[in-house]
Amino acid sequence: MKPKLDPQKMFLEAYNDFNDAIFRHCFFRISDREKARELTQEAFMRYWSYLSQNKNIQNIKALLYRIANNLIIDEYRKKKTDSLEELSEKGFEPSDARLEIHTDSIEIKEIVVMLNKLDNKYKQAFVMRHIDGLSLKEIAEATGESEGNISIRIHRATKQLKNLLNNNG
Amino acid sequence: MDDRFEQFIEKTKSVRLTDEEKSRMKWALLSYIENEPVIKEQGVRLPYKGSLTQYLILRFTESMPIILILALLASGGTALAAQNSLPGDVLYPVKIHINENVRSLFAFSNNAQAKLQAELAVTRLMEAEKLAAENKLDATTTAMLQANFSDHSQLFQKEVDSLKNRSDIAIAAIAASDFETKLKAHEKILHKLGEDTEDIRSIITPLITDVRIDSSSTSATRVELEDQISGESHNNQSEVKKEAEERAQQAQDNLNKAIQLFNSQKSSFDATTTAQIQADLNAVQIAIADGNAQLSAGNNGNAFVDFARANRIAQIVKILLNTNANGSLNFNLHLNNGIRIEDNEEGEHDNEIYWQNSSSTLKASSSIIIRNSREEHGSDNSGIMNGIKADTGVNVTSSINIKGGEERDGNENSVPYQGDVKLKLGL
Repeated sequence: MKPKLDPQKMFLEAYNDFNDAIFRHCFFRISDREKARELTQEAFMRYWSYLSQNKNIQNIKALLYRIANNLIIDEYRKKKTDSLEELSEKGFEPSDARLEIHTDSIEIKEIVVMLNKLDNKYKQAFVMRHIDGLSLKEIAEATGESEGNISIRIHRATKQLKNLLNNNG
Repeated sequence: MDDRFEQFIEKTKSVRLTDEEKSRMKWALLSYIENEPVIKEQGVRLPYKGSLTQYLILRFTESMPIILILALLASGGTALAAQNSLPGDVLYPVKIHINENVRSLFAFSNNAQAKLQAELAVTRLMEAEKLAAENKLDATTTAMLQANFSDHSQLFQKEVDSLKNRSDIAIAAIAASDFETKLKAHEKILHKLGEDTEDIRSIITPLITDVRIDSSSTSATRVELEDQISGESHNNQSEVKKEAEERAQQAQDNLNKAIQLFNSQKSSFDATTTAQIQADLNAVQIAIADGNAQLSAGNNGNAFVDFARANRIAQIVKILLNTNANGSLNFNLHLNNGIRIEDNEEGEHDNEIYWQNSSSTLKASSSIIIRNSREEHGSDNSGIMNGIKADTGVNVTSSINIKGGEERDGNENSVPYQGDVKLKLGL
């Protein structure tokens, strides 16, 4: 019988494998480097909660992204102003165009500005597919959305972004 | 056409944690999981310390900071007990070298670091005050506290500068304002302590000087930042307005608390002190009114400045009333059993409960009987509570019976303290 893996070892391996990936994901979603670091640490702390309760984890990667995604949603809720709440009540999904960008690199800032012009949900799907390199299935698991919806969003986001890139000369 | 897209994606890969960030995060996480042990199937949590330490020593010692090795080996109880220690106590090194450094690992943003550095600087002052109140402060210890205070104060200044450079002007102004307030309050307390006892005065004077200097320079920084805020004509108006309104709320809360404290202590003040405090409270109310007028007129920047001033004054009065540094109460005691008692307001640490007095002798250490108000537990958790982990979210509201008294008389006096007490882990 295969011996059960030591939780601490599992944790450290997951950390070593995914710390950059989760950080990158958080950064492109919320545009703030320091906040992204905070969320990354928080994500791993929550991951430990799962591990320490000996819960059966099928896909570590998907779990980590799901935790990160939830933390980001919480973060968005904190930032919502009244007007944005009104807008989303009317069914309008805002983009992150108004998010303040906190990063030191000008090049990255430009990238973020462009990404933030996308609709929120499109950006999420785009980041997970093209920047994080997740499969449709993994994205579905992490967000709880259907593969179909995600596929559409990725397609539209990519199209929008390519247009933006071309228009920028 | 697709080339640009490929390049775009390629560039995003450059976003990653620096080696230092990775390292710090790893050790912070390891420290965290050390205290969150694995639950076995039966639901019993077992401490995993043995194997984790072994594993770490086997794999990572070359790169592990010594501080964290010590932190990992020190038990939770040690860290907690160290939190209330004073210079000269056995555990004091744990407090300053381990606890405080570990806290620094969890302060990510410039703002969090600024707040932490300010808090650590002020802690040194409070330690000096406690020692002075017990007549245990010597020149060597004062010099050490002075040096450490200066270090943290400078680090605070650095963080504020970073905030300025990142254009977080309002946040910088608030951080500076809060630190300035605390420094001014503690300057007064230290001065008062020096007045009461001749021996203390000469020892404590250099420290007071340092505090005064730092308080002035922080004040200058604050003024400069507020000028910037009130001068800003169109940028970030909604943010300034939001900050102004938050400050207004804070000022009002602090004012209400100060008034409460004042009313409950009024009888113990002489006429001059009463008049002084009353004047300060009036000044707060006027400043709040001014701020509101500015808000109505749409001058968010000016409103911010007014509310910040109101808050500063209210805070100082509150801190002083809590410390009650006019020496007219009858009990001289300190709480010495490893539990940190704080006001239930977050971030306020200056409300340590101690009174000074010239006539009463200090009686041994006191015991605290705290009844847990959460009904689920069923039983009374009375007794001394040590080793409480993290913020359990339990609001313990009950009376603290502080026993103490004159040894000669052989009788004991009990002083009931009523109020909310929140127990927090020092880490």
